[in-house]
Amino acid sequence: MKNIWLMTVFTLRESISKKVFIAFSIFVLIMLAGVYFAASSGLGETLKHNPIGSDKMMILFKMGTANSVLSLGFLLSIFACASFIPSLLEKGTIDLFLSKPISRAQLLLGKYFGGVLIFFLHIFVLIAGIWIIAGIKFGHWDLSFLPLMLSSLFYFAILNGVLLLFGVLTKSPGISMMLAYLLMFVSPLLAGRDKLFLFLQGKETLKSIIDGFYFVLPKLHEIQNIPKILALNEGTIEPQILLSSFLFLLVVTVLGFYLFEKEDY
Amino acid sequence: MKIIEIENLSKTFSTTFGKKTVTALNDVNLSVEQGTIFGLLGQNGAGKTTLIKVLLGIVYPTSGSCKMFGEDFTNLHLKKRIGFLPENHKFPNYMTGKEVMTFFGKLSGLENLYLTKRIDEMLELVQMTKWSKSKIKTYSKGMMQRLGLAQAMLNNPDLLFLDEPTDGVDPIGRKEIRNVLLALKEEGKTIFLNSHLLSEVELITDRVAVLHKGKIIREGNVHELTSKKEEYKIVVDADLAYLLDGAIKEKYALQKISSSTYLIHVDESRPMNDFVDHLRGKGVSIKEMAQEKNSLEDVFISLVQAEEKRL
Repeated sequence: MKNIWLMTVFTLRESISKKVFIAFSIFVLIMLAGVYFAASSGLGETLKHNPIGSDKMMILFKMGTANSVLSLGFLLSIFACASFIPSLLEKGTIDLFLSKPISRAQLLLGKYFGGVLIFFLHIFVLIAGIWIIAGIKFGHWDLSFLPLMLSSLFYFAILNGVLLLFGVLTKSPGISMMLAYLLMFVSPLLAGRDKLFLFLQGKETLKSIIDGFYFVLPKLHEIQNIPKILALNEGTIEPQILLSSFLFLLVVTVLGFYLFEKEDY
Repeated sequence: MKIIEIENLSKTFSTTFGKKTVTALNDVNLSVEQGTIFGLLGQNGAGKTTLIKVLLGIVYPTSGSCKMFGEDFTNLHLKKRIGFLPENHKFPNYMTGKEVMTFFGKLSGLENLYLTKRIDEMLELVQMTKWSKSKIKTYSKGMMQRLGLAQAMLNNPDLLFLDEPTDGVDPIGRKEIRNVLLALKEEGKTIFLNSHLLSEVELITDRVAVLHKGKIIREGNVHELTSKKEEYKIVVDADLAYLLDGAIKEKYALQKISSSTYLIHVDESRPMNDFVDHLRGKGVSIKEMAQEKNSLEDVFISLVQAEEKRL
């Protein structure tokens, strides 16, 4: 555990030195300032007197704001974390690490958790910040908004798993980053595949392929919507969304660890 | 006691899809005794770094076995007793020298109190105390090597692997590093050294092995390898070319090097004692007598050339 923690802190330090941590922090603070000004501009009255109902409107406001900011936050986090594994695998660096009494699995876990920790620190400030601003400005302290932290963390954990696997496989931050972005952008398309199928009448093979991708790939879009569904009581969460996404995370990370364990450096 | 025992070790690298293979190590057998400095010599690409990397678990062997401290080399806890200075190592350039030492010291499992004391000692030893608070990105190649050496010695290892330790270091720094290594040897530590600088290897190693295209082509102690068994240099106070008769000069293949220095060849049929008796009989005073030596570089080159011809 001590070695994993050492590597996690080392990763945190690496991100601070590369200025990405600071850039990410500035982004979060700017977003929070934006939310604060929006909430101070008489928006509260509009929300309270909305025919939908003030509670529901307030939840929609918080969820909508947070999710928009989070989408940018995910892009930024991928950019921030894509180089962690490739930088560890550089010639002259990996030799030093592997000569120490630390296992390869601990090295990689430390790097992985480092990325997750960086994301969590920012997302915690962002979501807690929005919740506090809404509480102070509108007197709305509903806790149902806070699970967004967990769903976002799960969302990023999956993307970070992709960065880990392709970081080990290609040693290229660029390729890892592109694949993580691709996964992010494909997910909403696959989630709304029913609409897509309207244009694919008679093309059953293609539909099956798209269905296959949907079931194999993580359900990032659905994960991001879970807190909203729960908060607004809009229906039930299908367990397969969480299970298949978790399975994907497990497969990519285990594969990443396996390849790292077998590789000569 | 044998600290390193390598038996029939081979390593073959395969390119993507296994279309092409490169044999980096070919049936290597080697052992290193405790408290010695062992030098591994070889041309670029001979397999020297691969051998060290296999021992450290950075590269996996294709076949064969290795033991360190009598245990299977894959045991992770053995690394607590090992120090390593890789060739062209890269420390995080945003850290200071001291931070690098602290980080790698903690990764080696050292406790805080001991670590702080040890870092100061090691930085002092490699004369880097003055630069310990400067960022790595401001370091020269020589400073990086010094810090790398300090990092490798941080956990007070019983076995130290050094891959080109004096690379980029100035002559004075090289001498200081040699002295550090000799002091470690005095303490009973074992040092495994890879170096291109054969003159340096010659100065400090007890045993060397020559690796050529992944195969050990010669192993032995430095004295054995470099001494010319049949050639002696003799310094006298007389002109032997004039004093000795032709038969003796021919028998011992007397060769004049300078006015008082000569080279003679001896073996069973022409014993050294007879020659000395002959000189004394003539009233010649012998000032100095020493077995001639090849430089390690000469030995290395001739071994490699002979192996190339054989192949």
